[in-house]
Amino acid sequence: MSNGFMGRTLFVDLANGSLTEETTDESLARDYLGGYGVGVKVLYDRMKPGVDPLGPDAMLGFTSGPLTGTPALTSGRYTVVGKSPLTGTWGDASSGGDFGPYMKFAGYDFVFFTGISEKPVYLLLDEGKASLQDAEHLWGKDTQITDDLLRAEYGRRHTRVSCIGPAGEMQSLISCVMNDKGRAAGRSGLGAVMGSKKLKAIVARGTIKVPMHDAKEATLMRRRWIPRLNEGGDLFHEYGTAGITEGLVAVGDSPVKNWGGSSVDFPTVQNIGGDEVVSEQAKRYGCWRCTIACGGHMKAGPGRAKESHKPEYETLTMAGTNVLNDDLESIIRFNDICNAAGLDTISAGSAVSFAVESYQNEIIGLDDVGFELNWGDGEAVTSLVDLIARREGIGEILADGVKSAAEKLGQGAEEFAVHAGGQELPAHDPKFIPSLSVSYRMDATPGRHTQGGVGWIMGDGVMEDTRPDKYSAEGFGELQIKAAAWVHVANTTGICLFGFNSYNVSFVTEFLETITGAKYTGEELELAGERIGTLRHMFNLREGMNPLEMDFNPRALGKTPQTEGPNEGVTIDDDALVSDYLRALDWDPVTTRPSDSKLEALGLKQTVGAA
Amino acid sequence: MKITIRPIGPLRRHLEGDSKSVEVTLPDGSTVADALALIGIDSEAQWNASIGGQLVYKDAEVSDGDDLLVFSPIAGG
Ligand code: SF4
Repeated sequence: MSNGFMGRTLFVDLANGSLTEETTDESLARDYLGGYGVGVKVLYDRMKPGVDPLGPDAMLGFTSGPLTGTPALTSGRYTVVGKSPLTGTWGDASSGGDFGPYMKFAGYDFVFFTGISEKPVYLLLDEGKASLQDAEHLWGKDTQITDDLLRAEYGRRHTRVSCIGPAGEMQSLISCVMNDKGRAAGRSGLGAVMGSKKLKAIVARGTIKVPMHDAKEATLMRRRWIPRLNEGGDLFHEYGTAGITEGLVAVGDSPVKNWGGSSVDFPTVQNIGGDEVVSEQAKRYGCWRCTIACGGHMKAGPGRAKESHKPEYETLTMAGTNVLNDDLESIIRFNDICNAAGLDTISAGSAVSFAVESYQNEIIGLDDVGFELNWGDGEAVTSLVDLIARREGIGEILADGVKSAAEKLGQGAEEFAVHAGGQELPAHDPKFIPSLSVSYRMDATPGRHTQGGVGWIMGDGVMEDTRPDKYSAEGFGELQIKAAAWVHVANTTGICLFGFNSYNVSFVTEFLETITGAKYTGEELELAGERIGTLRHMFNLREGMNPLEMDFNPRALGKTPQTEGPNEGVTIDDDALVSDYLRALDWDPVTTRPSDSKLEALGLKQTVGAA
Repeated sequence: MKITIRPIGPLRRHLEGDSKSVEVTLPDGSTVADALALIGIDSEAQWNASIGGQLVYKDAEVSDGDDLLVFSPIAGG
């Protein structure tokens, strides 16, 4: 087997409890790198189209990359993959912490589940052996208690846990998969898939070393690279992503007042800015051997979780700026509630701002909610997310995301449901970063900020956007392809996107060569990235999902232009950007099917057949 | 006139000690670039600035009492 991989892939049928091992396919790992690259190939080949994502035929994968758990910088990532019950499209969600590396130290690169267990179970990966265990005693427990109990049982030192909380058990479509108590594979609603299978957790215990082509050189390389952090990395080290909130509100990147307002409506952003957040931090921490260490544990305090984690930028905006809430304490509690229940903070925050605006427009009232929902009321934010976490009262409707809630409430509530294809938009505004209007629609996981974009996450040193006008479609398509491809490379090899942005991107290629022994040129990696992106797209086409037909809330695109603030008067011509992207991709402008020659060039002809 | 400059993150190295902001005095008609030059931030370097939540560019005039936020171009999160 290739270096960088443990060589073993596990298939678990939860219906009958059978476990089947296969040798990790070497050519697959080379062509699809790892992570959701291999994930999409396996699901495309082995899962029937049209399955109910919460039904027995749905597959759910836990995937690592060849760099996960190695000396490569920021290499703590793993990715959960499946068909998203929230969007009906391809779904994947990546997370840091330590779990990904430990999955490999326990001996496995990839684990795929199918079927539904009769009783709650967890999968134990233990020094090269796998078994299903009874999880009846864990069902109903929050993610932190689950993590504590399992690590106490198997020994804290070499054991890590990835699990769902009550939100996933109740199949909330905005639930996530949590590991290390504060790290989330947040998006695509994959916690609900795990819940539907009655799979409470995966426990990984192990000390097996990842085989490497040149382990010594990899360690030396790491030492050479660590000091080469750029300014963005410095900022993340000092504050975590909390350090960007004030700046991004000012420039018009952050949503304010459920995407209907602007920085002008939220002059007190300083109260939830980086300095305030860090003043509440007890200790900084990093994922698996990461020296950027953007995470943090918060000081103890009344109403806070026993292990309270530093809120990320996304959380500070979705539960802060987007509801005009400058009460930091309420955001810390919101974050704690989401982490414990296993809820995606982006979607949960979006559900809260949707509810506040629906309340203000008398679509829902005091009788429905039980308390008032006013802009800027931190107390209401935490009370409401608590209901969502428990699926109680109005929380029952909101727990499946804003699209579903708007459909249930009717009365024009869809105007306030800010999503793309059912996925609540993250806190980056296409009016400020126009390429995101394309990423949010055209990536196979709609509404995601982690899939690249021109002028957005491009990797340090991949390319420069020298176009004079960021809103112009001219020359856009080729740049967007490159940006997306490189992000797929980082995501699938197991590298954190913050690391990807914080060091010159050549580190990925260097470590990949030293660790796997395989030589990749930049062009080959780019091609692999495009191959992965395209197969994810083909998965969606096979499901009958054409991204051009997807709902996309017009607010985020400025279809009614804002009358003040940094994005005043801006309307995104997303049709023009998408057309140029389709041209550059050589995808059909109407059906979005890649041309035959494109499929051939990407080596996908055989996989997709005549689909 | 007097304005306050508030750099965020690594740009704080342009301030003394642990301070988070600095008040500077400028002649009327001064620009954002003039103000930042006073604390050693070069107008050719990459930064963004805002006043009262509005993005401002280097040639924009500042006014008495302005709170000028300055930060590196940032992505991520
Ligand atoms: S930069 Fe932050 S999220 Fe990324 S690996 Fe390091 S600690 Fe984890």
